[in-house]
Amino acid sequence: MKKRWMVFLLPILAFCSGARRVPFEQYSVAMTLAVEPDSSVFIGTDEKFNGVLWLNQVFETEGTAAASVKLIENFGRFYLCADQFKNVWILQPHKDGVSAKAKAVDVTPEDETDVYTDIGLSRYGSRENAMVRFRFNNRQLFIDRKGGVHETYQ
Amino acid sequence: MRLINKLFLLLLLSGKALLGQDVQQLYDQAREVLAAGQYDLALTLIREAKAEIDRDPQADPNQVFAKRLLPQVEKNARTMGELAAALQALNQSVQNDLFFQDLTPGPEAVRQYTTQAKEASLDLVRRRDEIIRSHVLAPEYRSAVRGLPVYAQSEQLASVGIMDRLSEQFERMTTVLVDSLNAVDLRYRWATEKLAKLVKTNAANKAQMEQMSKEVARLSQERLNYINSIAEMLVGESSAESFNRPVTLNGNQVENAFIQAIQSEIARLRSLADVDSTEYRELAHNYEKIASYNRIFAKNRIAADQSALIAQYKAALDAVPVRTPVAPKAPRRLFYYVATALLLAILVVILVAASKKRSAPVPPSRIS
Repeated sequence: MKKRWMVFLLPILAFCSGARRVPFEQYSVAMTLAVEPDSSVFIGTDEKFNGVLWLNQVFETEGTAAASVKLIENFGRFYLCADQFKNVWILQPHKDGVSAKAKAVDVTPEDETDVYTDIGLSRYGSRENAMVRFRFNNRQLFIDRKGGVHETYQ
Repeated sequence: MRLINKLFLLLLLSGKALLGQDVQQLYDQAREVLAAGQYDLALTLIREAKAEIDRDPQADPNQVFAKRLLPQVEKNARTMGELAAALQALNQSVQNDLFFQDLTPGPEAVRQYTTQAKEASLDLVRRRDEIIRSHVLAPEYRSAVRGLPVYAQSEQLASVGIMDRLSEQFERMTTVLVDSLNAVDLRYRWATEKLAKLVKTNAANKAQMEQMSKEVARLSQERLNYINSIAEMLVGESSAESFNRPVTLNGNQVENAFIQAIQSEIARLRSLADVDSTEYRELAHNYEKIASYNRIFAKNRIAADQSALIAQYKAALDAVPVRTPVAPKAPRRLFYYVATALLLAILVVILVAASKKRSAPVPPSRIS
């Protein structure tokens, strides 16, 4: 009988513990970031930045090292690409605060050898369902918050 | 809008025509061109970005471009435009208000004109900097102000433009000054020849010779003053290092007088028996001035480079004997020895005489 009461009490206690959800929209405009000699980029400018990202593994996978990369944040995830890349990289920051899960997305799976040029990143859509609009090679595609790639905004 | 800006915009928009315009890219371009000082093109790009958002609100999901980012760039672009207009008005007003009244040609007129021009330049720079301070721009756009054509125009006006305006006055004075220089040069030569004759024939007394020498020195200085005035007109100020040319002199009007001045200075130095250190400093100062005039005249192609003559002048200056102050001679020791011996002798004589007086025999007393 006592255990049953505990099942009801735990959520109530968790609710009353002081942790509250507040609105926090995590997005940014597209940033063009210079790559440092140690393959890191400061996310932001000068004293206004919110992290450092190391791209050694990204460059290894791409087989090229870029002088600058483009980065945009959409719903807490970062989307990264550079000229001559073969993928768009989706970075999900880990809750430990010092690492991120990096996933390479080839938006043109029909051609595995192509590289992206004249790239551009921007957010597109509604406030609740904004996607990342990726422009490259005179084309554009939309990447949703789950990493799905679409020809048009849905 | 300038043609190049139109072409740039056309190129930019034509590239985006296939996919529609990207607000993010228009925003980036607007910032880029504004940082390069193209505020009018930045405003055009901002208008395009706003129009794109109006056409397709989904291009700006959180309205962060419409409400925050584009207005910021727009505000800076407008401020830069107002700043440019204010600088343009300042440049125009300085050019309109600048007036050099006619002064009697001469060294004093050159000095007054030069001072007035310098003050006008400094005032322009001060007012320009005040305008820049009063138009506050975001840090990333501040350096673009120095790249604005109107800023370059004010720089040009402050550094050489105002002095160029002086050239009208200086051209007027040039003929007068060169004529005066040649007249003084003739008088100097006449006085020098007359002095040489007087010395040769010994036909004048010392006072007349001194008076003639003073006249030669005075004429020499007057000639240097005229050369100095012409040099100042050439450089805009009396510094030999600043070669802003506000006046044009033709032919060899100055060259002959200048060569003559150097030669006569060399001759004068060679004729000097010796000088004291103050006089030598003055001669060295004259040499420095004439050497600087040579640089100015050669740079402005008023006279051929007289470096060879200047080297002779330096050699003559170095050869001038400088009197060293004579230390007062120490009195000879022999004099002291003789004087001491004499005093001792007198003393001995006195002592001997005194002792003789004391030891004189006492007359025997009579015993009765």
